[in-house]
Amino acid sequence: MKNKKVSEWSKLDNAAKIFPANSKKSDTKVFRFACELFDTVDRQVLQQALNITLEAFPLYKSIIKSGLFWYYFEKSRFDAIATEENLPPCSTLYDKNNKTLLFRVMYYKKRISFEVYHALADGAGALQFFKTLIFHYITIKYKYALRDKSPVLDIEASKTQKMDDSFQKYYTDAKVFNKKKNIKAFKIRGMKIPEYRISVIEGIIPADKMLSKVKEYKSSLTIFLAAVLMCSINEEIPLRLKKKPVVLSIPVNLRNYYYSQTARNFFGVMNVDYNFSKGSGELTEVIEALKQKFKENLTPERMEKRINKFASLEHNFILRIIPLAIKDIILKIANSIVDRSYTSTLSNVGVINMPADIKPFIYSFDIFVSTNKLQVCVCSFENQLRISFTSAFISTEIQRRFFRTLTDIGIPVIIESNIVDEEQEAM
Amino acid sequence: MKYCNNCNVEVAGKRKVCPLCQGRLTGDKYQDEVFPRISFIYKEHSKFFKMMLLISIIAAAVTVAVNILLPQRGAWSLFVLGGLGSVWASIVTSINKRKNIPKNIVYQVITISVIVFIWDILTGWRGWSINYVIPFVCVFAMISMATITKVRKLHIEDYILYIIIDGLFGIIPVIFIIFGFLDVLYPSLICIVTSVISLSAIIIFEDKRLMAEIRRRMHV
Repeated sequence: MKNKKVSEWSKLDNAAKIFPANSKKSDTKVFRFACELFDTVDRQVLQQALNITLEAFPLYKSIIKSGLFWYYFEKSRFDAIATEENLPPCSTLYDKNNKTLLFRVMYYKKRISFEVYHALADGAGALQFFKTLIFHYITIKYKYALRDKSPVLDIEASKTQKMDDSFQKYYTDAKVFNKKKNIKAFKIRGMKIPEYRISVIEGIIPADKMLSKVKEYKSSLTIFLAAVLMCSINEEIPLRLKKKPVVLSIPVNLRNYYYSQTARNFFGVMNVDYNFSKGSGELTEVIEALKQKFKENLTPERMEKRINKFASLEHNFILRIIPLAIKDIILKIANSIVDRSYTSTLSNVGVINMPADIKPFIYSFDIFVSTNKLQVCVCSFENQLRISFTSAFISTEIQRRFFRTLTDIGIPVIIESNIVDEEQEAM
Repeated sequence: MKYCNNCNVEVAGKRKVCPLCQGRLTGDKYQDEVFPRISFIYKEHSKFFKMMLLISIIAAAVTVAVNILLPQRGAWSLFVLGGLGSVWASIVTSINKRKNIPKNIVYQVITISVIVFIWDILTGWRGWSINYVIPFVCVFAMISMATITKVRKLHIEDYILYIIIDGLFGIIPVIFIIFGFLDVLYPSLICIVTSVISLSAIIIFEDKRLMAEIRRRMHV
């Protein structure tokens, strides 16, 4: 019998719409979650866990196709296969001439890595998938050790809730005209790594020590790290460019402000800036300045604007009927303008929680993202805080200054990194 | 774990130098690397194409130069340039779309049709492009599409759109006939008949899928 069922499809959510037009080899818009266990990863168990997880997240079986006006997800018949890691971090997932699934699961020694194309989900959304995957992996692999326990994952969202486009739900018709002057941010320059590869440098830090230090500065973790990052970047600015502000773009997880359990995109972006030519540039002063900026940016009105900004793309009738090929060009131009408005990105994914029975099998979680600049992602698991730098540049000066600042105030740091320079390798 | 005295950090992995400051590390405990080592790939095929491109440019430049030296026979070097351009246009489309054969076929039909049409105009319009080439290319495309999709067991939804586009393209010769542009009728008639049959077959048997595909592709 021929299968007469018509393939399911769905629209891209509002934030996702900008990604297909702006993905390129130099910035693949892919991010990675990794989880390190205590034993070597078992491929077959991982595949089993992956199959179970996929059933709960139907959208992950999709590929992106282009229509006349918009891109859309279409359910594909591709199988997701867990493979041994054999690609550089955050390699291309969406290529319009070579359709594949929009995520990949890989393993290397004790690590399970999960890479996602940003159009499919944001960090918080993809984390739901990854936690479910790790949960199933551990419950299958350590069935015997867990025989008297029945751990339950803290994700109770239904399939529809996970597929929800929350931008649509919280869209209000309010106008988004904000005549904010576009500030041109300082841009990090330097030699780039060949083949559009990125360097990954992660600092592992005891969370308790870090947090008590942060308290001494009367700050929050995100603000503190943002300030340290800004100061580290400042050291790199040549004197003649000092007039330009350092601008950090900080993604905001809107699920913290609106009720949503979506496993898709639901985030906004805020830009915070500091001009080192106008202030003292002391860490404490930068922290104070950022506190103020964060407060201004996280008001309910600003939040609403953020949602409307993304959603307006779809509610503007004229924009909607422009053919996709032209939309692509418009979105590319818009993206290059936005690109100039920030220096770097800092994304704090927060605490990653797992059921108490599962925790003992996990050593750590980390997250990082593709970039053609320099980006920082932060997450923590138990008492392990991980600050992950990804960078397209060969120079590691900013990373060095950043971690140096931390060790100077008495915070111990362990560095993990990938090898991008052949000379670094041991014989 | 190894230690960098300069940065005061511990370093995981089998490094000799610190990833932050590139200074020598102390300590001698080795650990596993966290990331696999992945060598840079120096793409061979791109080198081949670069050679081909250079050869094409050399050929083009030399012919133009020779043509300027020997102008008695007119601007014949334009034919060489046009030929090279046409071949490259065709190669580039087929390489870009190589993963999707039905799409590749449609792109080829359109590229070839446009190119022969331009050639025909520029060489004093004898009508061979619309009399013979375009109809036969269309028919050939429809036949190969039908065969390839069956042989490769492609799923109907992956190529339905391309069959439709190719079918609609194959009906265009109707206009040529109505306006009397054609001197030879039979290639166009074969083309139109094949198109009508292939379009009707899709509409009759795959109406639901076709509608679904149109809805997906056209959603605003």
